[in-house]
Amino acid sequence: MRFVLSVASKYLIPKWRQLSVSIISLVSILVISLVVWLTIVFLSITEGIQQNWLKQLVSLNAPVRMTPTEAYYSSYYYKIDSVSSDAGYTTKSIGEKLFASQSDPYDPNFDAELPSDFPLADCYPDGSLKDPVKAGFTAAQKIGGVRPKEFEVALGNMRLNLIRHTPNRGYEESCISQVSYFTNIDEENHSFSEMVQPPEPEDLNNFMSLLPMQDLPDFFNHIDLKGVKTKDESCPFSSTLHPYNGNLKGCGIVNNGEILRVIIPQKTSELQPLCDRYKEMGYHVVESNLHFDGGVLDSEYPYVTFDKGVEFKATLIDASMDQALSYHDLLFQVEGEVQGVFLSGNLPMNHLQIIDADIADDSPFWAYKSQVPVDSILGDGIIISQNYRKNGIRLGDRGYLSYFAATPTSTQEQRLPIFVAGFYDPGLVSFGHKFAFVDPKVTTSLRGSLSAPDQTLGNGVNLWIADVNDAHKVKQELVSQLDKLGLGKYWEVESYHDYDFVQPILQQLSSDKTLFSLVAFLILLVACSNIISMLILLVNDKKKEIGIMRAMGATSKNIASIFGICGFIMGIISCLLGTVLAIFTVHHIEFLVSMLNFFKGHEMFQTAFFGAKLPSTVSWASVIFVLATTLVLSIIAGLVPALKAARLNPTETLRGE
Amino acid sequence: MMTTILAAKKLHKSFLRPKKIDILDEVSLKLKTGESIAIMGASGEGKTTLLQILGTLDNATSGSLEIVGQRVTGKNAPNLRNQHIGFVFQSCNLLADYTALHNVLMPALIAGEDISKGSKSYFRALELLKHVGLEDRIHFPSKLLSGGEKQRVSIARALCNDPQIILADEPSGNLDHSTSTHIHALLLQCAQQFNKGLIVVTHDQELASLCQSTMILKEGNLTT
Repeated sequence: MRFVLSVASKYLIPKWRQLSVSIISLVSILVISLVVWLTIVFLSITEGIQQNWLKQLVSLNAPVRMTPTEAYYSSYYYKIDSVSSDAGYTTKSIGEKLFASQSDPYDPNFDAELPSDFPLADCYPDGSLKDPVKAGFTAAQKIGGVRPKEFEVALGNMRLNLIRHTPNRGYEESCISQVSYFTNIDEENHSFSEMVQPPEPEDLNNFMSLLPMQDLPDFFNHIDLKGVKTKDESCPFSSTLHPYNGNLKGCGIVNNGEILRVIIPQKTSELQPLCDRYKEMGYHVVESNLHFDGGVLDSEYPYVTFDKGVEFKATLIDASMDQALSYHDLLFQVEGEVQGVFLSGNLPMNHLQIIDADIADDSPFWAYKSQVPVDSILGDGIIISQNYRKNGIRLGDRGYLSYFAATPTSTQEQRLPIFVAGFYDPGLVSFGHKFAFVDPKVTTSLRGSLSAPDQTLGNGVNLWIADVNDAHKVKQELVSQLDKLGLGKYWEVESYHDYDFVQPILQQLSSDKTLFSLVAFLILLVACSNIISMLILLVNDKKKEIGIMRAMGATSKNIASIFGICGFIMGIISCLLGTVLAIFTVHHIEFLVSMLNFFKGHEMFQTAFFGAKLPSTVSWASVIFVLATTLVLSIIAGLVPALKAARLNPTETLRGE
Repeated sequence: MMTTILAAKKLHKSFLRPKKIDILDEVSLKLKTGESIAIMGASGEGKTTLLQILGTLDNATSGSLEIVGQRVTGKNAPNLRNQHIGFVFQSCNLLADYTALHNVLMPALIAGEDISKGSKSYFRALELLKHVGLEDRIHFPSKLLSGGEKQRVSIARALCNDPQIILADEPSGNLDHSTSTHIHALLLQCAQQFNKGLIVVTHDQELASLCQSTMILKEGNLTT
């Protein structure tokens, strides 16, 4: 082995004398490392995207779900509630069954006699009625790491009114109406809060503008206001803002030789664009200087305003709340730098809008933070898909949820007041945007309105697990547990692999990965065939040396090993180079993406599809796959020339000289 | 005591292409320790073929060959070659990219021995190079050596693993007369000093006369 390694290492060092061999081997190494690099980066990113998608997919729907079957709905256990006085003569949802005091509420002494075709009770040998809900729930709880939680989905019509204030204190109104699936937020779904988008400044401004005056103090108590900006060019330069000394530049609008108004931008660099804008609008403008001396402004300018978008830090002046008739009248204590001059003073809300604020506590009455808010005046908070933002819906928009409920004489429309309390990211779930998350009592009301059980609407148990990848295992374990308990026929257990909406996405990704792996394999094959050509050239070049070494006692196996090892070492060098590059690339993927975006001039990777940022974790499974493939291919590539070298007849090569 | 270290019995070799030629016809030969045999013959008589068969590099069509008492088979040939036979070729056949020292060490390396500085093989190679008068050329790349120097390295290499048999094929064929004489003397002196059996294939009468016996290969037969 010492001899083989010594000679192989000698052959691998590039030499001028063997320029063609050296160039071919360097090109082979570069091509293989390039393919290794590309494959690891691609597979790592797709793996990361797959995990992100999976996380999104199972955020709306639990990774494992158990739903009642046809047998459940036609069972004695389900139907008995409709003929029992204790159960109020209504069938029960899974949640109600779970918390029902007794499995069989029927009292033969009190309730009407059961019809002859009523299903028979499914009982244990001791005569007690099997309780598929409680027993099923307990079976799920017994599986390690599983957190079961009942869920309900109900259909209803959501109508949202969009009331938008106009600058002259008027308002415009429009509405959006959409049939939606209403479901309750599962408290066991720990990743739901990650899907809810934080409120945007427009949301806060909208919420504030729609709130009744008496709720405004509460609203401001629940937000941590950080900044405001002027919303148009009409915010007057309040006399309370005057600094003691300083100079400001502004765009003066001239009429009949007199400056009527001066508009001050935040930065001096914005002055020229501001003047140009007014010039284009047909005004005669001049650059004006404002000078403050001892807190007094030159009085020659009658009217001074801020430009649109001048930003200040702000705090609400509480006293202004008592006198205000509407939110327009609120006053803010503001401070900020304008053209290097520090300004501090009061400004009214009607010219301002909030640009930065945090939700101050864990459960504000107006927005989702950890639970859906319910307010006595605003109604039930709902969390809807962020797609609605595109239609102009903002946090705080109000409306109602309508459904039809049967009364003794007719079917009447019922309305529940609702308001938008948050937006969630539906990710890739195709019907995700049709879901609205509400308080559980809303879904119960909706389902309760149905005169007959609607099996198409969802009611069942979500099973949340820590690791999504365990879904299939949990499903199998639960199925076998339910079968053991004789409850298998009442429940259909599905893992996310079985969900209709997940399959096409996962299959697409999986086929992309397979296709890419196949292409990578083919490129590797071509690159490795370069190793064959290079080694065959080397064998031809070293014919005489092979003969000499054979004459000195080297076996044909020794000679074959030399060239086999050359191929293998080239494979290893390429793999190492490619892997190091790939790890570096994956860890700096954000920089690469920003470079690509810069050169292409637009976003290369849509956030809706790829997530907010590309995954930057190396998939070690793919590293192992790529390295194993490359090494096997390079060994095979080394074998061909190795066999050729081993078959060389030393008498011929020595005689040749 | 002189023991037989090489015994060839009825070696027959025929080439089938381009047409069937019987190059060797029942050649038998014995070599003992310390013995030197010169094989002479006209060009194309099969001297080199005979030497390659005796050196286990080529197989005879029929007949048998024993090296140090072991019958040569396809399996044991490389090992016998490595341990018991040293070759000296007409064109030296040194490894061009290696130094004189590493060329000498090559048989030891093939045998799997440690050839690092300070090892037993390393010292033996240095000794051999000194013995052939190349102590100032030890670390020279072999391609920079003169023809005579190359052949000296070649003789040192043949002795590296301390084999019993030295096979030399026209060892001075490419050298001038004066250098040839030196090489002949060195080869014979080495064989004698280290008590090796030597078979030399040569056209050179002078070299043949230095050997203990001379054999003539003619029409496939070896005669004394």
